[in-house]
Amino acid sequence: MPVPTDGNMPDQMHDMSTGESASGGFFVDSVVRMSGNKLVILSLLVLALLIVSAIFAPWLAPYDPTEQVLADSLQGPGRKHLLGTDEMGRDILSRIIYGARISLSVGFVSQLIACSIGVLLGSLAGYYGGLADTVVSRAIEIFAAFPELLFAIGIMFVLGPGVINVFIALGLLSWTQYARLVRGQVMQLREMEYTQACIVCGGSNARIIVRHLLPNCMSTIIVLVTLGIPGAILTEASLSYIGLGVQPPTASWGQMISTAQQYISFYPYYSITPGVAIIITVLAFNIFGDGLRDALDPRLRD
Amino acid sequence: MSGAPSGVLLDVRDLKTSFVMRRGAVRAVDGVSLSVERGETLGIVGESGCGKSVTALSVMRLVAEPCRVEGEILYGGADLLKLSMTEMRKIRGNKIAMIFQEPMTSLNPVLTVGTQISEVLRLHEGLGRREAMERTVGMLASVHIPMPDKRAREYPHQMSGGMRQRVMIAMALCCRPDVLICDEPTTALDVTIQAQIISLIEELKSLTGSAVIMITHDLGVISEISDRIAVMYAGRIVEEGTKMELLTDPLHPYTVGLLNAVPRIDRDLAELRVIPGMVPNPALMPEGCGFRPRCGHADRVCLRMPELLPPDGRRGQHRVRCWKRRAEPSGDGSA
Repeated sequence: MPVPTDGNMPDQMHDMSTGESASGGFFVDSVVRMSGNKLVILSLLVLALLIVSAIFAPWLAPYDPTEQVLADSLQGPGRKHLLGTDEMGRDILSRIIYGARISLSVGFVSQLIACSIGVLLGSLAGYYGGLADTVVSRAIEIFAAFPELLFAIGIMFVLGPGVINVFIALGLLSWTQYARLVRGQVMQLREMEYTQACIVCGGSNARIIVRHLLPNCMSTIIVLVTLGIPGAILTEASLSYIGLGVQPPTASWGQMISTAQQYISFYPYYSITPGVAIIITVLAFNIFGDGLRDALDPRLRD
Repeated sequence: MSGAPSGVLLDVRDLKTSFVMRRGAVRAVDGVSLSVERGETLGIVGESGCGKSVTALSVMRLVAEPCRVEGEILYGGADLLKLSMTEMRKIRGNKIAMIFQEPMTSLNPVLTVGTQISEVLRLHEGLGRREAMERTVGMLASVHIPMPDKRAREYPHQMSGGMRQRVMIAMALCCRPDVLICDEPTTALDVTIQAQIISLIEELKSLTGSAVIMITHDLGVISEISDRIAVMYAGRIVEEGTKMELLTDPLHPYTVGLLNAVPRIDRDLAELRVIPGMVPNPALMPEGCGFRPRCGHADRVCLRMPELLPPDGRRGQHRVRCWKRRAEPSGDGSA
């Protein structure tokens, strides 16, 4: 067929997609799509506010969260103490602000641990299959067979209370979700033609997993993290509530609810405020995670 | 057209690939021998399931487990089948490259095309990020992608099929491989783009001096680009020869059938001519010649497997695997 091969093909010989395409990269696209959802933007603002107040707690909190003024104990919300004081006369607002530090760091760090374990084991199992897959899959099943809270209580009981141990317990608790999903996705991606194209180009297994397969799992992992954080925050609150989590005098929302329980009949503010803080945080993370999942879902892309 | 016989780059000898199934092994490639010389294009034709893709994958050692590959694949004085995986990785993409049928799915959707090409360069030639990107842009320009520096920063979904196949070619050729294996590179593209891709492969081949193995079921593509042609049927090469020998004087009844089956727009035919019957199931191969059940000339002698031999009383590269050597006498008298 007469096709000029002299290196200067006329322009119309080229494919038609040369025109400017509006879309940027995958993640740019997703951000643009997400910004259309008002609820997600609101949840993002709430999360930003929480993170800022956690980081700048010493400057934002009106009082020292551990400073006790027994004369002012159990006061309702007022001008001096915006959200009132607890049984030791400590400012509840300050304790809520400092408590955000604990809740958020537990959420992020535990999910980081869970994500590292889960992604590593999941991608190995999914890519190599065979024995690796059997071992990891059975481990996932065993870990997932324990009731979540009981498992966390068990680990905390062995490790002893403390923030670091909460990180570890929650990390060990939730890695299975990451492993399960990454395994499934890597299994599917392994069969894609571009994986084979990469092998043909001389790529090693490690390179294929890290450079080609995991970037394709990124949206799943991000969504799992944002949906895993509120779960971890709730479990931390439960652990602190039963006295196995963060120890006093460090402020933690779950532990505040636990102490406030005794005063709930005549002084409900005390338990309501940390409860509301937990609800707002978890809700914001969940809405944001849902929005993110919709935005990153390739099936919804236009 | 072909170079000196000493310039053999890749020599496949008696390749046998079988897949181990629950009920014994199924042989997909049965004793295929091929060789390509520097600067030569070898076309492999055959219908779906005849083993042409498995041959290519076997050469790259890409056939998935559980399988067994026997024979010898000689490249650069070594048998590829005996190399370790690490040694094999140094050859793949560097010395022997491959292009696939599906340009739409052969690129990773979450990486820019520039990243994907420069990754190959960084892997095999140890280039730095910037150097590799410069070479990548140059490669994209040489496959005639307009605005290569801008295109390098784009994602596969922003490109059309023909454009992506150009990217695949750029990726395959960026390390100037000795052998380029094209597995149906134009099948997924429309005809005008096919012609461009074919001429692009030709053009780059003459630049780099690579040998090309072109696998296709499309006789038009084959006749366009090949120096030599091998016809495969049911896991075996049934006929082999130069392009002229094979297209003007086909000897095997299957080749004759294939050539007759090409629709011709300049002839007014009531219906398309087809080869009756189906490709045999590799698990239930007929006794003797694989084409026997579909062949109009078959008789008792065909119950034994014929050898791939030159036809009676002739020289040249032409070889055919048929007892009937020359089934139909064509004008000037049969041998």
